[in-house]
Amino acid sequence: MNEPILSIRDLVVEFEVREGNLRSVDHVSLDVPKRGFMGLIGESGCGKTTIVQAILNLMPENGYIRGGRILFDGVDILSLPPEQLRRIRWERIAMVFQAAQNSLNPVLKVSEQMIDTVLAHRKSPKDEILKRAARLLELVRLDPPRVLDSYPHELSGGMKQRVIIAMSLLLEPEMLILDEPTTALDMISQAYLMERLKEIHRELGITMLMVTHDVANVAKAADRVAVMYAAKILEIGGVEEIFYRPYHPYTRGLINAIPSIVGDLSSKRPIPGLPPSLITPPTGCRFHPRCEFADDLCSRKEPEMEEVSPGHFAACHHWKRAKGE
Amino acid sequence: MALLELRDVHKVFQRGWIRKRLGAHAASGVSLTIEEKGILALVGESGCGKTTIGRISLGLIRPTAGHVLYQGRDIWREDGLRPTGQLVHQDSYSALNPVRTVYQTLAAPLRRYGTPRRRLREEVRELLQFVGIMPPDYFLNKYPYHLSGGMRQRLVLARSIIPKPKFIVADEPVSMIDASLRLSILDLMLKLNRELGVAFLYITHDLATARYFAQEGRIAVMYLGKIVETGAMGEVLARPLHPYLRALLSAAPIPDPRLARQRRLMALREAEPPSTERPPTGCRFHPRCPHAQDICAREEPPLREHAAGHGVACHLAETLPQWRLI
Repeated sequence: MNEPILSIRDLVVEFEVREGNLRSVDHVSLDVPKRGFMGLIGESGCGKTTIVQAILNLMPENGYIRGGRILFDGVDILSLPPEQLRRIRWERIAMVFQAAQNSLNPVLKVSEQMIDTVLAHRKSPKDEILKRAARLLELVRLDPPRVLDSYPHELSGGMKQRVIIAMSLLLEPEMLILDEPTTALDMISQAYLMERLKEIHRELGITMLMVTHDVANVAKAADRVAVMYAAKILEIGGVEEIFYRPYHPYTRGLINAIPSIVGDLSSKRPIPGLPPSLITPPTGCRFHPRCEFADDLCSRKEPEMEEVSPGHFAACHHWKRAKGE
Repeated sequence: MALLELRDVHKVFQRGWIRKRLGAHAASGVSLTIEEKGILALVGESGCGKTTIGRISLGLIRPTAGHVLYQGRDIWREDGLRPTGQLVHQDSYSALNPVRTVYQTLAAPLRRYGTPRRRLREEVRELLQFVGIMPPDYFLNKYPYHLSGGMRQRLVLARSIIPKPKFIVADEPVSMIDASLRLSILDLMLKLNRELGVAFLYITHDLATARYFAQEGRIAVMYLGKIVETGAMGEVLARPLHPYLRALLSAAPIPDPRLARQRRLMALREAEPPSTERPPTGCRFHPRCPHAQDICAREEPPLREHAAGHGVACHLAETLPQWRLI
């Protein structure tokens, strides 16, 4: 595994809401290895999107980073002055948000938006920008002359999403962050987009961080996976480790709750109970009210991340017993 | 006799005055049946017309042409005849009245369907228990916004069974529910099917949940307003024929890293679907189909029986290469 290009250390993020303080990210640490493809999975409301907002310090108005550090290539992003942070955004770390296909400007042709994107960051001759844009559009299997000359409404949702991804690569960033890149796309377009993302990762050697609730997309594309639940990361490991040898009972339960088009269905079952409120989270281990292995200790003491096998970490008091076979 | 039968149903949504000739063809000759106590999964991507079929099945919209038979009788020929079906859709929040408590949500229809006032509380409790909203007393005075998505969908299902429906059209009922809880809602629907004999038309884009829910039932695959393949779930998924279904299967997510990486996405001639306003001539899938021949652009393939109970609408079904998922 390569050195991390991005290191999140002890990150705490809170939102001020009517009911009180909602701690959406609670002492989270995560390393994204250079040139790796990291998948961050979790269900809605677990805080995974908040992490990516924090990485580029793009918090919504009522959100506050209360503690921790985010090191990108050794530099603490959170302590940078705004002008320097702006240089990192999109130039070194590009981000594609959820349903990003709607973020294209409807009254400008794709070519103009490509040019604007580059010129906002650096001086560059237009024909060179268009040449690079064409190469990137080919990489996402779009027909450059046609697409560059199109307005967004002339393209389908899947095509727009691929335009955005090409656009995000214009400034040759070292890292691409994707937040639910396939939502709102049809199944075939989704699969197609995932293949393109894998190709981009392979061919450009760029670091990827993909945040998603879609366990299957992570299984297909990521080489390393972090599992998040109720504002905490519970398990981190290689993709095969996580899927075939999960240690945390939540990871096991989640994978076992996803039906598939192949294989046995009789052992599939939902996780009992409901995800907790983040305003009044459970004491001890956040998962203990839903966990079959839970005992006194789990409701009293929060488990620490432990290395359960080389490069594989889990935060569970009973990981030895809970280990999936 | 089938509980519900659609025969050659067409539906065109016209828009505007000037462009009257251009309409979205949501259904173009759809025939399907739902057996008494049966389960049919209707699978297709957005815009294929599957939601329209659900609404037509319930008698909520009138087809432009074709027949809707409920227990053998045409619902648009006989006055006042409506199927005793219920609709459960994706967004449970908008399906519930936000200013009514859980108790009120269930008590009002119970009252209307004949429960005496003195038994209301007890029956509401029983109903909540039955759909797994427990402990009932804790939830009686909660409002929809107090409930999680899963609980709200349970409440919607509880309400839907009060009129003792013969069938429920469930249109993407779990797509807004957390992954760890999806199966619990599908399991509840299976319970309604087994214990109350409610038939289901399960409408979804998701082959994996369709397979889970309709393991013992049937599947119909829809593409641009047409049924392209239908049959028993096990048979159809083991021996898919239509290239569109094969493409869908090759794209369906598999939560297993090795299998997901071994499998190849079927190469289509066009990755993106065409517009529903000007559907292609002949077979509607031909512009994307890697096997298409001249006849496919010229003639529309009828839905025909390929093997017992396994129907397909493809000219080339007999000559396609053998199917392997991986």
